[in-house]
Amino acid sequence: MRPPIGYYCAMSKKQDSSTTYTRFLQLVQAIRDLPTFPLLDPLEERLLNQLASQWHEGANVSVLQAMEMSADASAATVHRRLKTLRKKGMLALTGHETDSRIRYLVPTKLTLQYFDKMGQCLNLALRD
Amino acid sequence: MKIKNNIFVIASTAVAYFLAFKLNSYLFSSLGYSHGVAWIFLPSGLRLAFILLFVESGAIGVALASIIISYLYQFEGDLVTIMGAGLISGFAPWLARLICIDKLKLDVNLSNLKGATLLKISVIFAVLSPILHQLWLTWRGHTTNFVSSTAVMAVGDLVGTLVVLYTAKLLLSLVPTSGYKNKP
Repeated sequence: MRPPIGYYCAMSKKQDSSTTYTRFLQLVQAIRDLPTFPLLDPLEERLLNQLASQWHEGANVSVLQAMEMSADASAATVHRRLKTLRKKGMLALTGHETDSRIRYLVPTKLTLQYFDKMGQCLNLALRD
Repeated sequence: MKIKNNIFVIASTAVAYFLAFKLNSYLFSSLGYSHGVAWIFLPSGLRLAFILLFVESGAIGVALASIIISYLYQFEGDLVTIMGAGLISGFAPWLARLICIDKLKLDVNLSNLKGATLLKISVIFAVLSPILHQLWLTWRGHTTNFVSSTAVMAVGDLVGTLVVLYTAKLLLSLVPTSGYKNKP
C-alpha cells in the first residue's frame, strides 16, 4: 500500500533538518580537529626533553629504555605518555634493523619544529 | 512548510550576517583599507559556515544582507553595483563550495570534512569571493587598484575566517565532551 503524500512531505522535511544537523555535527567536528601546536603536559614535556638530550648525543632510544628513563613516574605512566606523544605527532617509531621486537623512538618534523621554536624563544629571552 | 523553513533560514542568516558586519565595523573600523575592503573581515567566517550548512538558503541570506549593507553603507545608491556586490557576496562562496566538492572531493553532507580540509576550503572561499568582488567593482568603476584591493580583501576574509574558526574551536574546547568511552 502506498503511503499518503503527506508522509513524503513529512519525510522530506525530516530529511532536510537531519541533513543540516548532520552537516552541523561534521562542521563542529572539523572545527575541533583544526590543526594547532599540540599542548604538552609537564610529564610529556619532560620526557621529550630527556629524549632530545639522548638524540642529541646520537643515541637510539628504544621504547623500553624510555619507559625506564623517568625516576618519578612509573613505567606504565611513561608508556601512556609516549602513546599520547605519538598521537600528538611528537614521536614516531622505527624498527630495529635485525630485531623486529625492538622499536626506537624518533623525533618527527613537528618535534624538530618544537625544539627550534624553544631555541628561538631562549635566544630572544637571552637577548633581552 | 518547507518554504516556511527556508524563509526562516534565509532570514536568520541575513540577520546574523548583518549583525556580524556591524560588529566587525565597530571592532575594526580603524583597519579599513579602502571602500568596503578591510584587513579583518569577521563575517567571512560566518559566511563559510552558512554556505556549508544551509547551501542555497545560506547564500540567499548572505546575498540579501550584503545588498542591505551595500545600500546603507556603500556605493551611495548605485543600485546596479549594490545588487551585483550583494549577489557576489552570497553566490561566490556557493561557487567556492562547488569547487571544493569537485577539486577537494568534499562530500555534499560534509561527511569527509576534516580540520585540514576546512583550512583549505577557507582559503578557496577567501580567494574566490574577493576576486569576483573586485572584478565587479573594477568593471563598475569603484576600484582603481584591482590587485592590491583583491589581495587585501582576500587577507581580510582569510584572517576573519580563521579568527571565527579558532574562536569556535576555543569555545568548543571549553564544552565538556561526553564522559562515555568506547571501552568494554
